[in-house]
Amino acid sequence: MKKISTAIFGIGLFIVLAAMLSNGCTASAAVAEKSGSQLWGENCLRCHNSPSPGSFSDAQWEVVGMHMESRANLTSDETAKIVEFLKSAN
Amino acid sequence: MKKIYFLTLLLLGMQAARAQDAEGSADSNDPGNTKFLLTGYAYLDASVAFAGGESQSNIDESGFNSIFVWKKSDKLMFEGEYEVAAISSGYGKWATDVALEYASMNYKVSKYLSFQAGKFLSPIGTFQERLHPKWINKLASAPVGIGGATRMQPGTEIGFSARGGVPMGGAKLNYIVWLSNGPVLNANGSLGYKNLADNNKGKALGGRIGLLPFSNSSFEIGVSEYTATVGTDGDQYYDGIGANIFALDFNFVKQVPGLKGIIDIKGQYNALKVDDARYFTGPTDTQGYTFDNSSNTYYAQLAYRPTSATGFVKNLELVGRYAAVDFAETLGTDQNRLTLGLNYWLNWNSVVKLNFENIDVSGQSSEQALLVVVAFGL
Ligand code: HEC
Repeated sequence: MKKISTAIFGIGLFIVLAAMLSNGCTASAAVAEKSGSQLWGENCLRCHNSPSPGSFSDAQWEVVGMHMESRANLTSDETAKIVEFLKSAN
Repeated sequence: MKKIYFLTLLLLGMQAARAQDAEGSADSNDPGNTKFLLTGYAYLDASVAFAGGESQSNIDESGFNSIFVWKKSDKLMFEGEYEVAAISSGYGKWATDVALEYASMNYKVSKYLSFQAGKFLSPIGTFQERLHPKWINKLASAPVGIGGATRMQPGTEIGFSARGGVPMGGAKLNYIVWLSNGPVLNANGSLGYKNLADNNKGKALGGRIGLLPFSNSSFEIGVSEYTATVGTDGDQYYDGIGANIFALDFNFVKQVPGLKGIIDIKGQYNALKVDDARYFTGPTDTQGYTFDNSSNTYYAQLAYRPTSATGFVKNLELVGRYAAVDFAETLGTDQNRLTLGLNYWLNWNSVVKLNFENIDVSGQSSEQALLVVVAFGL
């Protein structure tokens, strides 16, 4: 069991690193074209109910965005778009 | 395994340097850029327990957790959580529990990498780091074995971590690797997780990788590995004794038009293995005993919220969870719990939870409990 789990984990780690060090860290065109509101709708309900844009001020959304990017391991690009959307719609 | 980790950290460092080059020194750390958020949550737990024809009701705990987040610049952030709780400890007695839940400094090196240092929620699996706060956990109790007193993993850890999210075509990967003091081996072979002053030189190394294979981010599957030296250095019996935790987690959340609402499925499996060692029942026991020190636990949870409904019904949520623990013999009695819940959401982060829980402890007659939690996100 221990060997298997270590192997699964090692392979996973290798894929992440390979993706980061090659130029593989790019989103497909369809993903890159997603709007902030769509990304908000898809991502912010994965762990808790999604807060509506009116819940916070612009400055607070910037803090929340950085907090969630770290907590939820969101990609920087999607976080930036979501925060822009929340700031424009509050 | 440790070699893999060190190699990883080295590679992450290289990636960091590369990213720094690429981005130049653009920093927005000008005066007046600090942004601050004071948030957190308050809660009240109450229960009625039924066993052997008797029932007992109690208001168990009430607490208030303050969360402070400072965004100092686009690269620097600090997050801290301070909790204060009044816990009932027998008739007419209350204990006040004050704790630093986490305090973590965060430096964002590049799009794909940030470093943290401090005290942080354990990233093994997802329950502890992402789902345990009372306004997020959809049920009144934590899954036995993964959260709460019987958990088979640390709740928080103190050390360093590196993490990030990486787009990969239509999919996304995310990772975290960390180094901490790790757990300590107790005299009966169980692990103690409050090891702020390390009992050995060997640090704990952990990692989790999450994959979101679909472009709509609805599904995530994660694998975690954690390896630590838990025995005390120089101890006649336990020097060098190690422990390993493996975890699998999954998360599927999606608005399903055919069901007129949001379906939310979550789960986690933890397997804990401590190296073989000889344990003693007391100072007069010269013989000692050994056992296969492997334990495991899992839970699976399904929730449905009719978001397309109107009025009162729209704020309701139905939740069911099954959780089971299989302890190494001598460390505990196996048990499973079925929890069914009805939630009423007052807003996105405030909820009233009403749960029924059936507890089956191996070799005993089952017990039931009604649990009520009011959680109020701030
Ligand atoms: C991977 C899980 C996860 C995802 C995805 C997630 N969150 Fe969170 N969120 C959390 C957790 C966990 C907390 C509680 C933080 C704590 O208690 O330390 C939280 C807290 C919050 C809070 C309370 C304030 C704070 O910063 O603690 C807000 C607001 C919030 N999230 C907004 C969002 C938004 C907007 C998104 C989408 C971009 C999002 N979250 C995505 C896990 C997640």
